[in-house]
Amino acid sequence: MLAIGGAVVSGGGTGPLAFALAAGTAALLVGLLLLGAGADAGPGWTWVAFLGTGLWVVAGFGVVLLLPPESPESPRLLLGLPLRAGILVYGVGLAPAIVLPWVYGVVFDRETLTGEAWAELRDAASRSAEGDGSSDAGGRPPGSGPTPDGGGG
Amino acid sequence: MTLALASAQSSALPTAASPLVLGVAAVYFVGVGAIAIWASRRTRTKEDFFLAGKSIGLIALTLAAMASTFSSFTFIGGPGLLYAQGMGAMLFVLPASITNVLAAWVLAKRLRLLVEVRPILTIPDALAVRFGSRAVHGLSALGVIAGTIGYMGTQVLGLGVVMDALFGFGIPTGIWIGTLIVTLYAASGGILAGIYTDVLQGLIMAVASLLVFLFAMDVGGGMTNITTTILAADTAWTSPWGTQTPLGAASLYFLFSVGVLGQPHVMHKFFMIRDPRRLKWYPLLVTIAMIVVILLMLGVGMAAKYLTVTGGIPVADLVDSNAAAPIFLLRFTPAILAAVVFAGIAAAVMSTVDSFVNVGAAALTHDLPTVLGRPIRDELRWGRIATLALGVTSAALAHLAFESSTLIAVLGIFGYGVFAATLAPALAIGLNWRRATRAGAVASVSVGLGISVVLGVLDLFDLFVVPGGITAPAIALAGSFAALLAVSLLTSKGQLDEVAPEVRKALTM
Repeated sequence: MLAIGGAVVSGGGTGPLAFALAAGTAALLVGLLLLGAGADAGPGWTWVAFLGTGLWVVAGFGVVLLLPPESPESPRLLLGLPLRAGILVYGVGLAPAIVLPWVYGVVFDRETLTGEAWAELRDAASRSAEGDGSSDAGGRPPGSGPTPDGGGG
Repeated sequence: MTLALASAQSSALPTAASPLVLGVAAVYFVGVGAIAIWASRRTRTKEDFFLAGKSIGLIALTLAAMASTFSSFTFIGGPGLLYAQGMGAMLFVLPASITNVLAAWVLAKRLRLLVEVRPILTIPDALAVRFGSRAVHGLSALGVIAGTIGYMGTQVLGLGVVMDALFGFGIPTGIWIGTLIVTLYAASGGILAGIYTDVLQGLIMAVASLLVFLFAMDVGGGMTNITTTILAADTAWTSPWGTQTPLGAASLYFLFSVGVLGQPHVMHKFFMIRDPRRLKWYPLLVTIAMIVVILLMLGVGMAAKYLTVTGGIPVADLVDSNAAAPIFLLRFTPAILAAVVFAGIAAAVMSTVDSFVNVGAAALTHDLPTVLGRPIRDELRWGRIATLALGVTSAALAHLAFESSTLIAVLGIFGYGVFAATLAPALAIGLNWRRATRAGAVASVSVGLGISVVLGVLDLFDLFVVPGGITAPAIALAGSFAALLAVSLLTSKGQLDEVAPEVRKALTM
């Protein structure tokens, strides 16, 4: 947000502002991941994976911004791509895909949704529906509950 | 992705019409028709129509999410953009590696559990449950409708272009015939038809993309040879930012990584999985599927540039960069593969359109009447009518946009931006942060919608260009996040403690 504001105020973009925006985006992504998984997991290897991914993304953008442009005379390649583009594609683009989805799958049964929790929620939903004298599909309106601004939505 | 797509679809593609292409396209459309008939027989209630009866499995969810996320951008706009602007075009798709797992951790489980404890049909419904607010429900529904019309206009125009390339009967006619096909199957079979045609479409997209990538690498003599050849001829093309500023590129990464959390046509699908415990391997599978499809953009974009450098394709043939993929397919791949990819392009656009039309119809026939205190009794029937009406409106808008390249660009940018800015912060933070308040959500949705509309209008009339090459929707998204956090911290009413116990359980377990 600061980077975007800075660019608007200054009337243009510079490398440091681009880095600030990339770093801010990475921080927001990590924050959202921690928020989403935090209630389930608490500090642990999942958090390490999130923070590591965030730092990796920030480092990737930083290195790309710092490296000099490629030259045709001595081309520097990374797995067939120009070095800086390769860092962005393989590092920022591909690397998180190798780590985070695996972590999600590995910790799912333990940290995200256990069989007991799912059964418990279904029981609570059934009790709530019985209390309303209605089924899930035709029961209380979606926004039921305290609605000071004028209704259940 | 809409940004590039928006500027991509006002001109005709090379026509592929040949007996083989027409034959493959015919088989594909017969397949879609068969699925629509099957789905229409299984669609008996509004829950069937809008939520597929909460009956889909992991593979269907994976392929449907992938297919509806990727539009014709991946097959036409993306390779064309990579050819024209260089490696910076990859910034549009790089976030795919993180967006799926982000959506899974932040929203998938929450949304699926919410639909278990409340009769939710839509994303605005979910926000209403969380915040107990008619204002949040109504404003977010307006955002969905505005975004749907904008995005649909662009997508339907793309469908017209693809239909013209397949059958050669002109873009305006293609718009109306393509829309007719999609809205008929979407109106008869609802989202169930959409999901299972998406499965077919996703399979076609994945297989075609992998094969085309291999052909592209073969034509160019491998990735290293392609890169060194291009580097010697056009160094700027190999810059990681392409023709954009670094700040502009970073703003794309921000918009497309975080903004995906507000795309209702994708998030809506989390309501539909039969057993949320099957979400376990969803991020891995959908990420792999997306990376496979992105290979086509990378391979064809690089091969097209290599071929123009080496004389394999005359530069004059690619004055319209969107011709890069069709020309590569027609000249450098076997006819049967070109035919499958052309069907895949139609599939990509149709899968996106069918998801949008369902989400838009739900906002019109469910959300707005509920907010206004006049719920519709027969939502299934009116959902079908709204689906057809949205299709006609979008086709008319696309027809109009065909005449104006400015309108096309603004529509596409507006659609993605509205979804991202109005829904992403309220959903992502609201469903996970206890201290997010009703006032914060109202502020976030209002600010997101307001900035999107203002910047859209200014853009349409060329009155303001954001400095530094920053994409305008990124500003609306950042403003929406800031509003939610600031107002929530300043207010206390409407916190999670006030919601019903079973809803709280769904949001905290």
